[in-house]
Amino acid sequence: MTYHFKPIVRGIFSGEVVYIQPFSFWGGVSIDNGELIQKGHPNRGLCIKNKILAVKNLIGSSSSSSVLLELIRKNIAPKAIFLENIDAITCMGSIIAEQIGLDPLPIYQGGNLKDLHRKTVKVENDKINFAKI
Amino acid sequence: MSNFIDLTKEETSFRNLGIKNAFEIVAKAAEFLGTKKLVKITSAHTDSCLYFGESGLMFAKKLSELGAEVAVPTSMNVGSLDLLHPELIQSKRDTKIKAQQLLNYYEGFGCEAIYSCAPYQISNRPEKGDYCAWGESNAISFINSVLGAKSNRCGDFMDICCAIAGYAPYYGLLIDENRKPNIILSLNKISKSLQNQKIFYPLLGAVIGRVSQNQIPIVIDHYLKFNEDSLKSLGAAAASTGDIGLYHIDKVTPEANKYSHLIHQLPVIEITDEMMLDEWKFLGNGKSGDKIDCIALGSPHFSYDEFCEVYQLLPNKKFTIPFYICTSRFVYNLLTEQNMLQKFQKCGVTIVTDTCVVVTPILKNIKGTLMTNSGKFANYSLPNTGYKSVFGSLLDCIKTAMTGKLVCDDLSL
Repeated sequence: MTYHFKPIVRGIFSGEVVYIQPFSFWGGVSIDNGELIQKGHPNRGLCIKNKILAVKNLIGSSSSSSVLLELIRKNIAPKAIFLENIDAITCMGSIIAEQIGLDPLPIYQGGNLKDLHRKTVKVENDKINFAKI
Repeated sequence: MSNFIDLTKEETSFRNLGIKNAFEIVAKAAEFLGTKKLVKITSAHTDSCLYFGESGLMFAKKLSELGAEVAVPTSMNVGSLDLLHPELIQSKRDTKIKAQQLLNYYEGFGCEAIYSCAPYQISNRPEKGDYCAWGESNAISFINSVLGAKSNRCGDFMDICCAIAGYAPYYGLLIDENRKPNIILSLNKISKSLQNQKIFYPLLGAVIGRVSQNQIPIVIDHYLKFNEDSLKSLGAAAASTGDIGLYHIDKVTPEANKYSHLIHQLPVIEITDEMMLDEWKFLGNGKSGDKIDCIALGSPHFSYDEFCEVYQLLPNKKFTIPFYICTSRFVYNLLTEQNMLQKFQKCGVTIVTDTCVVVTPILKNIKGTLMTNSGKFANYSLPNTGYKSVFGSLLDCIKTAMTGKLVCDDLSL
């Protein structure tokens, strides 16, 4: 099966994808260790540090850009994010990282994200390859 | 002169490098969001002044050194300090210093230092049809839904960059076509008596956010009324449980009548008592007599009218548990002028200004149970403060504060 993803912020990364329900960086992710702490979230307790996340959309506060940026600075951010709905909040966290000399968070846009769960992905900018474990 | 910039065509000149830098960030964001057009804005509200760590400070410093200043009236959201009552904040000294530096940078950009998440009830109040670049999810929801202004949900940094550039990416909720509802929520099955309660609004807001997620809802078959504070609490809750930047309420909010023809074309979701109860459980519904450690009101920041309501309900003795009300310095000054502060102090109420209890360490312990009438506080209390939440009406919060044991008389589902 082929997947079509549009690179929003290009990056080079590989690893296993984790599909999770929408969450908010602010109030949903610990700025101390990258743990998902959102109330009632099915993956509460998951550490998103270095994970390749697939999530339909992000929810909640506009402070999420600041939280994402701070996670990037502390090296506890996700490795990359696949999103169905691109939002300004996540984009800005990534854009500003570059502005202050940090590596931006790679963001790729596409559908059927649920299918990506536990697949391994290898991404080099515009080249995206998936394999089933 | 056109209010739009076509990024593929026009050459733009800038007064200084800071403005150029902010403009380029806005243009890059526009590209990511799939638009080549920017639109001139009339106001901004920036949430970027809330301190989260070095990174935000690094960016503000960069813009400041390049000479950036805002091009449109821009209000500041809460910071992580209470500048009128600094003793309330339990952060480390170094954090406080950096949080202050961050506020200083934003004031240096020419932002108005109101430090409030309800600027629309103070000095920054857009009009219907105005293009804006606002941060702070409750404020975005309010100006879109209640005032009929147009703003996307700007993340931190987007708000200040648009404020400095004077332009915002033209996409999403700035385009009329994208403001029409695509999900209909009927309150046909909810009793009139429940809908008449003030506490119904934030609870309904939380349900709306949960059900609608990133769609635009219109609420029909209801008994809701236009009350600013009630709609403020509804929108704040909806934005915290869902991705809601705009909602419509038939016959109540300013744009709803434009869409009455759609009401019969879209599938209808009926909100049920069960959905309301599930949401109440999620926000915290405790049992009568449960131990409550503190009360927290004021998310979004309390208005003067809300203080007047509490004032009437205050007992003649001191509350037995900590009782916090978060508000702006603007409203705090009104309370001072009206000689109302003393009665609050006598009851042991701590009035928090410039910030709030879920964005900065104010609560005495690292865990416990907090009672609130705010859907937003209830949603963010546990992750941000370690306190479990119980959600109840204002009157029940006050009764509970008398003994420290939960009273839940008002809300019954």
